[in-house]
Amino acid sequence: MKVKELDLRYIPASCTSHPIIKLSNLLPSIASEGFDEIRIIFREEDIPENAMKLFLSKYNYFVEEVKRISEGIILMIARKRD
Amino acid sequence: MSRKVKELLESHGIPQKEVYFDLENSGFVPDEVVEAMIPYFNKKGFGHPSITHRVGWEALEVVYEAKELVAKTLGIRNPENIVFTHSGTEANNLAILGFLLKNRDKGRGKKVVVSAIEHLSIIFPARFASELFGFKVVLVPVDREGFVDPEILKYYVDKDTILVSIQMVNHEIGTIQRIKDIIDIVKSTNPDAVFHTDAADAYSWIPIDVEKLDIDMLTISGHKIHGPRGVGALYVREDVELESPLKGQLSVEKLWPGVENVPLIAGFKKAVEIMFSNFDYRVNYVKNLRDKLMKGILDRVPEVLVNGPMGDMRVANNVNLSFLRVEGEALTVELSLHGIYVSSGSACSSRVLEPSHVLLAIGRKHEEAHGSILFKLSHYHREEDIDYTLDTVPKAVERLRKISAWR
Repeated sequence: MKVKELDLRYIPASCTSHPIIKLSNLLPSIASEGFDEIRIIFREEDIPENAMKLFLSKYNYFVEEVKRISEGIILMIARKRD
Repeated sequence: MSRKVKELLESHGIPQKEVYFDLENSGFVPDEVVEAMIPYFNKKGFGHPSITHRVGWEALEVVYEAKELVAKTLGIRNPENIVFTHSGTEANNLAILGFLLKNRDKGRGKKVVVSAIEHLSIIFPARFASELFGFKVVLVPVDREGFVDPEILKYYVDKDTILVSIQMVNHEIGTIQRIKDIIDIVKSTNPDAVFHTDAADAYSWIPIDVEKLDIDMLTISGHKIHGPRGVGALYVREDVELESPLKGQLSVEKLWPGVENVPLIAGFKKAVEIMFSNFDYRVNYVKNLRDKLMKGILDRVPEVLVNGPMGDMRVANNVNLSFLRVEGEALTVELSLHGIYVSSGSACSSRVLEPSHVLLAIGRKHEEAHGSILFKLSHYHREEDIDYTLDTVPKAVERLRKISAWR
């Protein structure tokens, strides 16, 4: 199973490297390269949990696990469905 | 410094044919607009518009006439709710910083929501306010065509949201947002949140009615409608309070200090008259040229990607394409040598060759973003300009691909 890990916590919020822009930029490639599973760690204040779930679903990744690993930090595991 | 630019211009020369497509960054001002401005430099209305003498009142008259005209084109009931600034950037700063400054300690909420593809004159003031006053700025993602999904936006707006700013038309990729759906989601989720839209690239290209759309603040810009550089405007609804981030002597405008630039406002007024005199015909004319240009390039040049949507959800004057295996800045220079003036997507800031955040946000890889070219059209373009461009672009791209390091 091909797994992609993304850590969006520490990206400096410059013009082109905001966590949302990073995620939006990488998701199309991740989807087209056929990754079966994405594991994303992010700050909920940057991306609300439900917004992330809906956004991933647009690329056919559906969330199967959500873990709160510390205050305001979420690990989300999503798997591809055809 | 100027000597180096002079040398550059001398070596460039003046091409036999010139077609200017860089209307996103600035454009020529038509003769009728220039003629409307000239008297106000030295013949009439050159007084200070807030001083009580005849020459001041002549200046005041044209400021009020311009506001009345703009109000009519935007469905604004009270023209006094329009503030003239000196650019769209200033109008955006007044909206974002001015609103957050006024409301920073009123317990109205701390969250500011903007789209990931906003103009930097929205994102930077929002970030600045967050650093100064502790607001939290969140970016809403967009899809591959640049659309904000109202269903995703819904999860960003809550009781803590004080301000939402989402542009009506994207300045780079031409996406026309479903602004009514967006505003409905914002207002139904938090009726107290104020909604601002940057309409600089929408104004005179799509119909706008601030009352029907329930918009609280709206920005427009003079140079985007063939008006002069140096004038912008912000509509502010009656009950929305701002504090100007700029301090100084107030004139006619109570929210933006400094003497109003009356000649430029006179020119802006004329530009508005021209753009709205034959709205539908002009938009359809430009749309046809846009479609011819886009289709022509896609048919003649391989490995080209369209940035933004196709069809009616793309503003009539925008063509943005990524030419693979070509560096955009090199292509702008190559085209310039043939008299075709465009801009590229390699500019978060023009001096730093970062790729555009807009293109990255719609999922373009860095090399795709770097190879993008933006053509902005207007009703001053002719079929022969498009034909010349279609003849020139394929050859320019082919030449650059031959010498490119990309394989």
